Amino acid sequence: MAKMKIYSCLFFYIFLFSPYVSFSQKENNSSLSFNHPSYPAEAFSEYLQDSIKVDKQVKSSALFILFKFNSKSEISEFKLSGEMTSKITDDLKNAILKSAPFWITSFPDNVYKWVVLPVFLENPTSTLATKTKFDGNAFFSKMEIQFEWLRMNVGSNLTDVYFSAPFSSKNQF
Amino acid sequence: MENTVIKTFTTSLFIMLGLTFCNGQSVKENMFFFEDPINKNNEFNGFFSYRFDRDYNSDQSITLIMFKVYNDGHIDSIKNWGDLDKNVESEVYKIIMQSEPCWKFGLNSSSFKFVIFPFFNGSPSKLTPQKANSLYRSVYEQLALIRQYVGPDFSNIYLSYPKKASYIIVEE
Repeated sequence: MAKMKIYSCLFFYIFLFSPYVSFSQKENNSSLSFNHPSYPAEAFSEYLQDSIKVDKQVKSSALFILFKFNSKSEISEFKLSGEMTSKITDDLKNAILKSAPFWITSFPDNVYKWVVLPVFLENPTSTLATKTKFDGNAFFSKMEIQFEWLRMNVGSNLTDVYFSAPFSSKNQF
Repeated sequence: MENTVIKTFTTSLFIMLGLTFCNGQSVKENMFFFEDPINKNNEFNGFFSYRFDRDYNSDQSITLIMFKVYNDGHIDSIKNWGDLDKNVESEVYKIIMQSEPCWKFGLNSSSFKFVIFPFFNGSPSKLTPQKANSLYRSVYEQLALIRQYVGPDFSNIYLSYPKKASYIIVEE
């Protein structure tokens, strides 16, 4: 009789809590990382710096790029918070697509991750005669819009977000 | 004896169904969110703007303010890597502390969350070319430093809408 009660209690607790233990483990096992043999871990912006050449006269200032990853390391939904020339957009997009094999994903098939890449292309101190003068007020107002755009696109809880170090053209700062 | 087993089984089944329901709820309510008791439609930036008037005396600045909210309701570790005027900074930090009761954790949320609050401030007329350059550089550096501080995984971050200061319509 006493044995039966012990078995009943054991059954009760195992039956009751096992699904929740596995549920909480599943929640913590979702990650994305950039691992390229020639770069330090997570050095995605450095990889991009070496992959594309930015024209010194570039007009675009600062913006966010968003792209989506699935569990098979496939990249989709490339979004920009502002405008860039089509040449730089294409170059960056190609470099990002080529980076796919160097991303390590560990999340279930129905989950995806957003990568946020802040991009700073302009050199505000440039003295090139042909270059349009950097407009600080316009930059200020545009950045308000960019952060609002980012919040609208990724939401408030950044549960599925990988945030990259900002990208700038080489030796810009 | 059979009765004991049946009773145990039935009880555990009912409790499990109850927990399953709660668990379903917690997946839905897994979010960390801001709730202003006075105006339910307010996000954090609205709560903040209501208490902070536009500051015409300072230089234009973009500051990414970061703070830590715990699930027992308290806030600490308020920091920023910008060049915010000290008086403005203390005013901003004071309002952030006032928001303590408004942060709500979902049933399955972690024990704390970091909030990133983009704070735009100052008067456009004060922006000289030199200051414009340092503003550009400052935003880059702040993003780099936040990334360095948090790492690439932003799963524990709440991103607030920005507190805006500009009402100029920018034409591309």
